[in-house]
Amino acid sequence: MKTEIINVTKSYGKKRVLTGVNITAESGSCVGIIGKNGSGKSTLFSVLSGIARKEEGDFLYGGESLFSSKKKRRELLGFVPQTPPLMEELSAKDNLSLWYTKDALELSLDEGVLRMLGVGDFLKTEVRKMSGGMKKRLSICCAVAHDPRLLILDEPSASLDIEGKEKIAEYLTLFKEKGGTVLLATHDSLEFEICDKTYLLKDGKAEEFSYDRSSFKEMFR
Amino acid sequence: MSYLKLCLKRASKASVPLIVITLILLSAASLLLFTYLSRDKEVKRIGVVGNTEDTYIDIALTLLSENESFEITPLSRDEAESLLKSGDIQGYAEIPEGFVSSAMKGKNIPFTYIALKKPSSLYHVITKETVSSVAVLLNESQNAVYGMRQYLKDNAMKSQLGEKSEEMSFKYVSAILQRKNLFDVKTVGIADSVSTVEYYFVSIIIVFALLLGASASPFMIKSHAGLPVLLKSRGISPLKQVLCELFAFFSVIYAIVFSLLFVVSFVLDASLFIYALKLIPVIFTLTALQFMIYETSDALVSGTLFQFFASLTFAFISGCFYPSFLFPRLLRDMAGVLPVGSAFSLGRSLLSGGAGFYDVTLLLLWCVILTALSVIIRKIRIVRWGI
Repeated sequence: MKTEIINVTKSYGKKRVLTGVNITAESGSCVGIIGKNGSGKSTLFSVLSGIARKEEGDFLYGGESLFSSKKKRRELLGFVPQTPPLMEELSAKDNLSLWYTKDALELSLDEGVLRMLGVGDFLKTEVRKMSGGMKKRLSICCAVAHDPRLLILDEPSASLDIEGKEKIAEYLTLFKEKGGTVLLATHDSLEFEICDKTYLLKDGKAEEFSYDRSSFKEMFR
Repeated sequence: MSYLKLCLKRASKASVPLIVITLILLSAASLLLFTYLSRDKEVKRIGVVGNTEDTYIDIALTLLSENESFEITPLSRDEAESLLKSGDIQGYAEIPEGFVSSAMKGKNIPFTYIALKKPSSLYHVITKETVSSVAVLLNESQNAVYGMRQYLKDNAMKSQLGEKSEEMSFKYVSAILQRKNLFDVKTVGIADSVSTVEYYFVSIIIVFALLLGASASPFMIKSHAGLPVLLKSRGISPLKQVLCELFAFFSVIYAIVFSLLFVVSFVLDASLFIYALKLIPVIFTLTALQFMIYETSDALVSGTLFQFFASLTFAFISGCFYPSFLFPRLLRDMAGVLPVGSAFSLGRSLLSGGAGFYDVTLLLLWCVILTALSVIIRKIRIVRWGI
């Protein structure tokens, strides 16, 4: 299944943030999107996940418009926001119970994403007592509870330790292997390693480029 | 688990620290109420300066002293000034020379009531107004006596003038001043048809609920917004989010207020169960207002301060601390239609059993407006948080 972002535009007032973004991704691949702060990465993800309205353009999965069908978008798309979508006063289990049925939770703890990301180790811990890495792993588990085919992550490794980053990279690799598509906004070199294609978001447009460490530093000058 | 259930679970966790705060607030409120009630029973000491040996004045003072609300003490001016400054008397009336004789001749020389420059409390205002009404009553009775004397003169009954006018004076003064409930007549009318104690009972509930709501700021202020963003992307609309969170917030505040009223009903030996149930729209309006304010805040310290100041300002202008009739007309009218003012008004009406269609409709309208505003703010913020 091919994922296509076609000529997506978005403005806030008079400011044009996205002036026609075009991105394509094959099933089983990961697309990395980089750009300076304020370049429009989060805006693009907000539009794709239905939080903000697009002005023009389309978002297709297997030829079907996800902008036209909200139901389809909710079914196919998982979105991990930059800040953890969690209730701080409640435990990991309570937070997961919003997204998982009891059976699905047990199954996932046995052989699913919860096991893979090691959430079972801190299931009864209150979110406010968790580290940044634990919160991020829990956030991913919440976002993928409905087993989406397309995963959008906004800087998943921001402020995480190496162990946390590695666990997330491991999961994303497996997600790809199972035929899922990943769209990833990142500045992290470890995450770039799992990307099959990278785009630079600049002046409201996405340009494809080949990632290497030297050109990566050059781009942000 | 549904979002509503999760919000209720979260709110129940929040209720533990809220109950601790409640106990502290409850102690403070009980102390205030106790002080207020004991002051209400205090005898108001009023001094009288001037010629108090005149027969009519003496009768008037004797009869006024029979009223349980007052203690009238004849004093010299120096004594009166000293006692006033020390707070031992509420004020003193200065009776000018020829006060009675001038009235007998149809002239009105007013006596002066002297109090501290700035009334320090509600009692001062009430005392001042009571004395003023006594002055009016006295003056009217003197006018009546003067009219009687004139009648006797005009009808060639001059021989009976001394005897009859004295008799009339005694009867008028006695009839008017022997009212035991003079003080109560003035206190009824602070607002609607509730007594002073009832007025402040409702105001304490309102202020208490507002303070409770403001104390919930650590749970209510969203410093980050990952959850509303994810909920929106998963199809849980801002309207549903707000309704679930508002209902959970209301539930915990109402549960605490209800428990408080339950305890108070035992202490006062009065049934407040039905009243507590009727208070649902009142408490809901207050929580909807506070929820809306929380929606505009994303920093804990500034958000908490804003909530406290907003709550106390609303409570103040709505007359929760001082009766609203002491405020300028414009402010009074404005406060009456604002959420806290209309909630306070309905709370009083429910207590006196006279809740009208207007009160209920206004409150329901506020519930809808405040909830709608919260939804709009949430929508805007989700987009902002998302980028």
